[in-house]
Amino acid sequence: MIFDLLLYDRPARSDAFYMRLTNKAIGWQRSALAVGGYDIGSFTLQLGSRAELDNFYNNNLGYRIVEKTAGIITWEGYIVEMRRMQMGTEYLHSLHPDRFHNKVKAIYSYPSEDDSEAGGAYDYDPSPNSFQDASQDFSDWETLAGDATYRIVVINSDDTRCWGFLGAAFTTTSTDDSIYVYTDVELSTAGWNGDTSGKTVASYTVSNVELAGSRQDTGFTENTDSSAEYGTMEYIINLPGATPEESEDLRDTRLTKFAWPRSRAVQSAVIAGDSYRSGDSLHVMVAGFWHTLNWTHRTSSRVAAASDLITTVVGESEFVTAGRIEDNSLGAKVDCDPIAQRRGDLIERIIEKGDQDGNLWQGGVYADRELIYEQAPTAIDYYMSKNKLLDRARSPILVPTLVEPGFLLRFDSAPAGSQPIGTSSLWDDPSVGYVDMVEFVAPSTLNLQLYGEEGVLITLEQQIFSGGA
Amino acid sequence: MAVVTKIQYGDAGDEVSFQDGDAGIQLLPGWLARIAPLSLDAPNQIEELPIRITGSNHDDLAFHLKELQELQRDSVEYDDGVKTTGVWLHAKLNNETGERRVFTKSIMGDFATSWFGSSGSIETSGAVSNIAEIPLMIERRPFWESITGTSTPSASQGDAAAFLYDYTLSPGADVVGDIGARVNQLEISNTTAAVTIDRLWVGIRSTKFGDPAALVPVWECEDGTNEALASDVVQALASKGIEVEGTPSGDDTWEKYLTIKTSDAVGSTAYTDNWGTFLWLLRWKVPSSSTFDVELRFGFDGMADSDWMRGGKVRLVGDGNYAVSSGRWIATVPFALNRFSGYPGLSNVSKTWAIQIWARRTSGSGKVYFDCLMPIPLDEGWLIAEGMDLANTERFVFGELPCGDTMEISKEDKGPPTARPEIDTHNFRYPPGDGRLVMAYARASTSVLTDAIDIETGSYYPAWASLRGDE
Repeated sequence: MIFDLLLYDRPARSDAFYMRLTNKAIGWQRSALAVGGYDIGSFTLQLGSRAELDNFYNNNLGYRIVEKTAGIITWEGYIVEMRRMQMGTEYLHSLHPDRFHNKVKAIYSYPSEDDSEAGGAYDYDPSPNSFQDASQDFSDWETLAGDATYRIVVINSDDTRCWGFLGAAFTTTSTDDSIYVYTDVELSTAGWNGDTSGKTVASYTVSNVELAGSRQDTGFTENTDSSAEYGTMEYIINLPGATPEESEDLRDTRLTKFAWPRSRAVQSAVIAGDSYRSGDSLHVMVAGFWHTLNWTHRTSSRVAAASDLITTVVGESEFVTAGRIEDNSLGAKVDCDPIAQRRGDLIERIIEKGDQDGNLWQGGVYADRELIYEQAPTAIDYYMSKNKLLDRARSPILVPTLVEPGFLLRFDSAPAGSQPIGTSSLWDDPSVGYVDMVEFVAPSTLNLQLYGEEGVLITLEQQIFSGGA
Repeated sequence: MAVVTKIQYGDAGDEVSFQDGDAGIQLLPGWLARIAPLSLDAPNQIEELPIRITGSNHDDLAFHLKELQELQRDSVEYDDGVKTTGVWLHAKLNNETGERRVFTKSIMGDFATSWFGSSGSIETSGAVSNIAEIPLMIERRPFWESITGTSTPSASQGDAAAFLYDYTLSPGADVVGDIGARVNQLEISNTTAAVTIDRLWVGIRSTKFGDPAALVPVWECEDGTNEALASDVVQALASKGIEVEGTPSGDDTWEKYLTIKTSDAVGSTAYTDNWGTFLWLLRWKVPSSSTFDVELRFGFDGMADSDWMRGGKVRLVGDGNYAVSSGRWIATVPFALNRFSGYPGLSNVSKTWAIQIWARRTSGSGKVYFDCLMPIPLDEGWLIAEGMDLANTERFVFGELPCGDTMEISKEDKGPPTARPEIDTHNFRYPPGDGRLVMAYARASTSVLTDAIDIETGSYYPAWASLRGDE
């Protein structure tokens, strides 16, 4: 093989070299994007025995994969998912965010305090400008001085509503089963907002004047053992109205359920009472470390130059560091309050803004998990001639694994044409395309996709080193 | 000279000969030996050997069958990783001088076929039901090997950024065979006290690309043409005692510092020996508190700068020490003469091919220093190791096993393993004929030319696609 595939421990753990997979990874293929860098890949693993396959499946999720050619890192990612077929049943082991997260919080709307579930007899004005629920104790919601802390909304049997601010509680039938009502929060004018005459109460709610309806945050809870193994994967539960206790319970339950990536059977071809034999197989899917940028959220907003923001945001990530970040003074904002944003999404949006001169920019996570951010090229890097990809020197590409996305490609056989009047950039040249996706399929196929085009446009069987003799 | 066909466990273990006539197992006429394509990617071959097993009685018949089945089991157990030695198929024609062998992956045979007696009828009992004919199917590696390995000499090195190692020096004979010889053992040891050698680059160079002894493994930057920003300065720690000092005119601006042509580096007559595809290493340094990015560009002297092929950028955060950087710098020194002989002007293709060194300072206020370039050939095979972690007296050992897997380990001298290096290797076999290894090594993040290593005595096994003859 022109490349080697190497396996390392999880980067959150030791990241130590583990083994060579080169001759054991069948059907290796992987892709890279001009915005994102190393993207996704896959292979089928061929090991000596079922026990070895099981061991790999059980223990190597999250391990780092590196493709190298002549010592140069040409792709890098982590094992994100594995599918194990055994005796007709498929098992899944995955780091997909829906199946695994070890740091969870819930966002919820502050609820009403209570409602008419107390179920007692309701009455307007047992005493003037008051409300009674014979089974309720209103003393928890009374305000004796200052502005009212709580208010009441009453729904009548004819669907009309009356509401007011709660003052002091008092006893009509049971202790503190009634409470005085005011039209203003300052509790200066006794009475109701709305017409209570002739109305029959159907139900009511009591709510906190300041907090009701506001979005609350339980705070994160984390399984630090899991984070130490795999890295931190955040998950935010978005709830409507809920109590703090309910929200925290939901958060904790979710964390318990998903803190560890558990293997699960997902599909079976076995028919009850029948026997089924199928070959053992293990299919491995990998993802570039760009995807780990979306494992965590940023919660604070900031306005700054695009390159500064990218440097800041990537500096907050666990696995990716800032590599070559070219200066881009275009003003940009990361808006993360009140809605938290995933860091990868933020960086992607900044990249896609380009610069203040309207130039396209590109960026992604490449070798050594470094983020590269730069203006898209303005010079031709490759040529397409007679179905061969040639470099700047018009020599055939000898090492397809070295071809990265984000380059201008001139088609020698493009229909003769001229640039639109008034343009001089290569981007306006009809024989030039911008390649924003490169896929390598071992042993020697390159698929290229042009910017703005759906699907793969160009497939090349590149002549590569055969070497030796 | 006698015919040899047999299968044998290991180098000297149990063997089963197929030349025993009526006293055991005999190879019948009709074996058409396979010939693998001459490529290191050639697949395993399936041999079909028609054999006849003759026993003096049924127990004797069973004995011979069990011999075969034992070796069949040995082959399976080696493939499963249970045994450390496998099974070989040996062969030699009647007048062939050299015996050869090939590693087997599996041995299969329909052992319950064709029971018959001397009458030719299917025999169910009686004294003559003691012959079995079996088509023995053997899956084997693509190429035959010599029975014994050829040793490679020891050597010492400790004063150059890169060097040539002659693996044919002892016994003073070129590599024989039809295709690259299997490298059984390549071993280097760190002979420098208080130093850890961590990285190794090795490329193979044979007569396919001219005279391997004439390859220049170090291109001195001071032999090139400096731009206005650069000048040669004396530096005892540099290769040949001189380095090129570059003074940037400002920050964050890419500037060209020097250009070095093939003719500058290898002299006027060695173009025919210095072409091919190389991984280019750069030995350079940056002072503490400065950071530089560097980029190599490849093209022909005289081309506009914008037309040069760009090889990727590498960043060095300076600490004042030399470093060996390996960027995405794979480029071919062209050689047109083999196809375009007689075309006027094309003899200049090689000698005007050149490398530009561009750099920019991204922080600090220091200068940048370029020492040399080291071309590691990639056309025929390479071995690149990182994480060797070799302390003084420790050894790095690499070898290709007969089954095709590789073994690489760092270890104490006559002691246990100390590290598991990461290996990137491709077609690492010694081609037939004369040849050299082009080697460079360094510490984990720095390079000191006086760090010394020994290349220990190693071995290889020549390989053939079919007959060995008298090689």
